[in-house]
Amino acid sequence: MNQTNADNQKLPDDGLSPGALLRAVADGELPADRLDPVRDDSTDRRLAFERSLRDATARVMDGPRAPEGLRRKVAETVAEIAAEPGHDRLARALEARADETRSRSFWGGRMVAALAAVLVLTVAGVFVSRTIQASGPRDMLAYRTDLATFVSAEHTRTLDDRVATRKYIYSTVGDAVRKLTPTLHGKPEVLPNDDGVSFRGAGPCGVPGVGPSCHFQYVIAKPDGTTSTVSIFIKQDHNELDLEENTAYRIKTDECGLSGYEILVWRRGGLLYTLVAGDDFPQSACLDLLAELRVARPDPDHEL
Amino acid sequence: MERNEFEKSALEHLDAVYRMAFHLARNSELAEDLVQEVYARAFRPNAIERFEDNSPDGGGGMRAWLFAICHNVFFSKIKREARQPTAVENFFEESSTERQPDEPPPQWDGERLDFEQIDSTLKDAIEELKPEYREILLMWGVEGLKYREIAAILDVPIGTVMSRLHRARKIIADRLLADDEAVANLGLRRDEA
Repeated sequence: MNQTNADNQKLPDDGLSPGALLRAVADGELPADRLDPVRDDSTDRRLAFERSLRDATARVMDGPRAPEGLRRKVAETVAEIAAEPGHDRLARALEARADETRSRSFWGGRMVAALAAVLVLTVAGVFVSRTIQASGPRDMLAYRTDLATFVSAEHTRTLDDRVATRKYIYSTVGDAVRKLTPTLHGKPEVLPNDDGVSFRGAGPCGVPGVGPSCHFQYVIAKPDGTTSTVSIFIKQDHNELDLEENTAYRIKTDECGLSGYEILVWRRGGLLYTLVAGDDFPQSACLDLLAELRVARPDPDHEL
Repeated sequence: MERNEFEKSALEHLDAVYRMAFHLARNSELAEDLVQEVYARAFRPNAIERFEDNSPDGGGGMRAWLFAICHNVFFSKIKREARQPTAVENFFEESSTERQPDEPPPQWDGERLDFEQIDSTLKDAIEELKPEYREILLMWGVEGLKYREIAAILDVPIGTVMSRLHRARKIIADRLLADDEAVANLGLRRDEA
């Protein structure tokens, strides 16, 4: 898995054909503005096609679950292997790995080593600090814009019932959470199906950034008797936005070239959540949803 | 990572590994055999000692590791069993420097979609794909993996992932376009495909 070099694992900065560029943008691999030089009247329809094709593929291929018999057999196999003579190497290897993580024997070494480590860390810290000052905030703002552009477009695209039918392969909250937890490497904490909150569906998504992602959507009843649709996108958090845990931040959509959306982001338990609502959904109602999700509402300075 | 935690984490991904095995083998019995072999290999002491959690960058971790084993076991079997493994060999000769395919995707008219028709046609098209294309479609569409993560699992350059994914998508789109009924139902425009 490690043979390929780092350069081969990056998307090319240029030289992509218009078709490859369009597919990469549709997949959330590149920001939408990369399409600007080749954009024409058909670009949005072609993007929509690619995203619909992905939804359809997910729907058609998502079927089989491991049969119970297999589950039992695999558990037995694992137990048998663990009981084999010599398998204590496994235990030792894992224990050694755990010890490395737990005790950091590095620090338990001689004073000279510790001092050398302090020196190295100090130099590295200065370097990292300079790097962050030079490129961190810019990268973060670029990611914020990519994220906001993508989720607002996906939210709007899936307002169409037929697109939603295709994308949302999970029709109950419980099923979606159960099946998406291993994918996300964490249990998503989302709104339950409740009075005034109707789960519309959930499915895999291509949110920009590293790691798998998914899209939950709800129809929320408003006090005036009408309803609005709200999306929650969830992905593994790789600190793309450097957020405080469990605190919502409002994305400055105007700085992202967007209007008509309220977009809030927060991180919790290793996952990055993005809530998207249209301007038909009051800001106060968004805050109510945050309260229901036990997420601290955004302070005025919590804006990205 | 403690041993129990390791086992628990590996077993949590059983459905995903089975799904991948099923789409590679296209047969539930073979898929079950494949999954058992994946787990048997994953829990061998020497294999576990090599386990590296790639999640800091790739986000894959255990699942990516199991997918990589599944991929290697399946394609090693194909290579062993085939007298002339031309398709697989050709496949692995792809390089990251190959020219990116330039065909834009067709346009999609969402006004007249017949989802049952689409599912049926797509299912047939996907089942007829080569396993390496089904595998990449699964990781891209269902598992939601990024190009970089897929590249790490398959141990190929990212350009190869893009090319392979493009071909798989194009075959599917062509299949839809070749089907008059699907064209009519989907409102696809042949001249723009």
